[in-house]
Amino acid sequence: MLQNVFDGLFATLTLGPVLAMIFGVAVGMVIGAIPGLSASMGIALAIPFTYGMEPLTALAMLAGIHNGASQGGAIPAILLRIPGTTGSIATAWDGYPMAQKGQAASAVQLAAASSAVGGMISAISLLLLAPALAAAALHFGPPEVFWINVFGLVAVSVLIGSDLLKGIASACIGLLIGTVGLDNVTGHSRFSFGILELTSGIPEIVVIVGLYSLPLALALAYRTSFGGTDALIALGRVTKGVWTVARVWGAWIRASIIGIILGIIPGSSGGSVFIAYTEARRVSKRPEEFGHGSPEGVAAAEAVNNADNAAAMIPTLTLGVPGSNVAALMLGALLIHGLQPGPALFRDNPTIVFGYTWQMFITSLLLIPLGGVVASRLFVQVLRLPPVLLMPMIVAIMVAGTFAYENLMFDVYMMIGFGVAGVVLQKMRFPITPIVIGLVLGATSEYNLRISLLLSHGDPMILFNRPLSIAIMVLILVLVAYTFITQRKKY
Amino acid sequence: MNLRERLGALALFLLGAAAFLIAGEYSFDAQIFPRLICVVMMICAIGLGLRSLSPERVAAKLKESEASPDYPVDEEGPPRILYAGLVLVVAYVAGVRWLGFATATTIFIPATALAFGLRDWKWIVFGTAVFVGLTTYLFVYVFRTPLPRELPLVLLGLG
Repeated sequence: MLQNVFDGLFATLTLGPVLAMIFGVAVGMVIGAIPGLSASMGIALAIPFTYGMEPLTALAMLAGIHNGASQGGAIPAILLRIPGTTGSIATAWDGYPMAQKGQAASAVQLAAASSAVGGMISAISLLLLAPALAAAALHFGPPEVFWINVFGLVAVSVLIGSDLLKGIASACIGLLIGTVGLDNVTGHSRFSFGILELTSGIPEIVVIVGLYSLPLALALAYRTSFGGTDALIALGRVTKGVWTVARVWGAWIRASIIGIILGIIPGSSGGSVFIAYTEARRVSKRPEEFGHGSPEGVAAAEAVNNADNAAAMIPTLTLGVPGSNVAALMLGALLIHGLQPGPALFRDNPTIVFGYTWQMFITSLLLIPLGGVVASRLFVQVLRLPPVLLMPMIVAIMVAGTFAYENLMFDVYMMIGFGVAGVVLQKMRFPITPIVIGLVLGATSEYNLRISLLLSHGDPMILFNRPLSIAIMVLILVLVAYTFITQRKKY
Repeated sequence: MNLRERLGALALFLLGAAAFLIAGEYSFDAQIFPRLICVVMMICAIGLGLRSLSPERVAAKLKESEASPDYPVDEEGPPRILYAGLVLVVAYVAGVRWLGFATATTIFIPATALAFGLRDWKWIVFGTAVFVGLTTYLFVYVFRTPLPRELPLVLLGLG
């Protein structure tokens, strides 16, 4: 095996794959930085360009786009509090306050380094543990995935537990939005009111962009009423601010492990970023800083975000079962290049498989110079713009990004509708994040719950009598009990 | 603030009740999950409504929630700015539908900047030109993602 690992490394370190990796990371970062565009969209667009390439060069470019796009979402989250993806929501919680304190460049660099560490640890797990981890993932059936999704929902409820009623109400709104469209078990159309565009459901990106971005764009307009038309932050202060590896390495390791474990299990990575963030806050020596510009918060959110990239490829490469949307596209890319995912892939094409694993590692490493050094200097310049100019530009990006998702103006109308709802909910002091989490986890929770009940012929005990399910339930109870006790001590 | 809380609770209850009734039209399997959510929503709404009767409890909860990382960035300002912003955004979306992305954006950015008091023409002209050019180029030519088509190009027979 060692011979194959090194053959893969040497094959990757040739001119074509190296250039493809650099290009892929740069393009991926731009894609990730635009709300509405995603890693899966970037890979889908890039696959036709790779037809004529050598397999290893093609995979190098796709690996670069995958890792670059996952990190790129942090840039608007930090600078403008606009999460480009669900994974960047928690980055915005601490990255944006850091930027407001004049530490924008520092926050972008920390996000890049955290993504790099998460991605590299994940790639190492793919390199060393792929077959064993894939076998373990097979033990997770619908009941276990249901409980993992519940764990994600509970983690968020605990996180915003200071007003539990509004947190739960918001999560319910998200869960209800997630039920719009065809029921994925019976095929029954729900809450679509005869509107064709609603039968396929409401895309997450439409909700995220609307809820987070429009209130912020209008807040920028507000600033003109009391702050004039000057730039958001004096750029002279932007490069100040420090974070140290000594302070965040624990968050990196814990978040990466959470990302790898949940990334391998298909359908369970939606809540990983919130579980990792909650865990980072729980063990932190300075939990009161979370939400107000904690470097550990940014580190955990970004490390977990990239840690599930290579991990999601483990069941894809070893079993042919994609662990995420991007992994499903990569499965297609492998087939296009004549590679059949499954156990035989490691036997028949070891140089390419291990080469791809190295590419996931190297493209993660490239995030430090490209995402940290270059992007922190380049993208931070957006803060030079007067807020009254930034406001319409944000709206234009929202519109273009949402339209690009499915080429539908209906999505744009829905996005604006959710934006207005976001403004109203903000005025009512309802938290926004549980809505998004409810939406993300709701559909998979319901699906896995109902499949579990179908498997057991309607007996709900299937959810409670499997060892892994019991273990996850115990974890949920421990989390709730711990939070309850610490809250009681606090007040 | 208490009136706001009561209105929020009422809106939440009405949303839950309406969805509960609508879900009753679906097959049994398809209605369980949404109806369960609606019940929880209505319970939360009743809880919020009861809480709103005590101004001290509402104030205490709002103070506690400020510590949450998800606490919204809300910058209070004159309502006329909020309404003006919303009108401009809705007009822009209608403009994108009928005029096309680049054309509507070329009008929207300077109009908004001028409406909110920016008078630096250098920023307005160069900012708009660079932004529209770069965005259109990235979406259409680099990412090959179509944007709503431009009316001027259609009229000229180019689109």
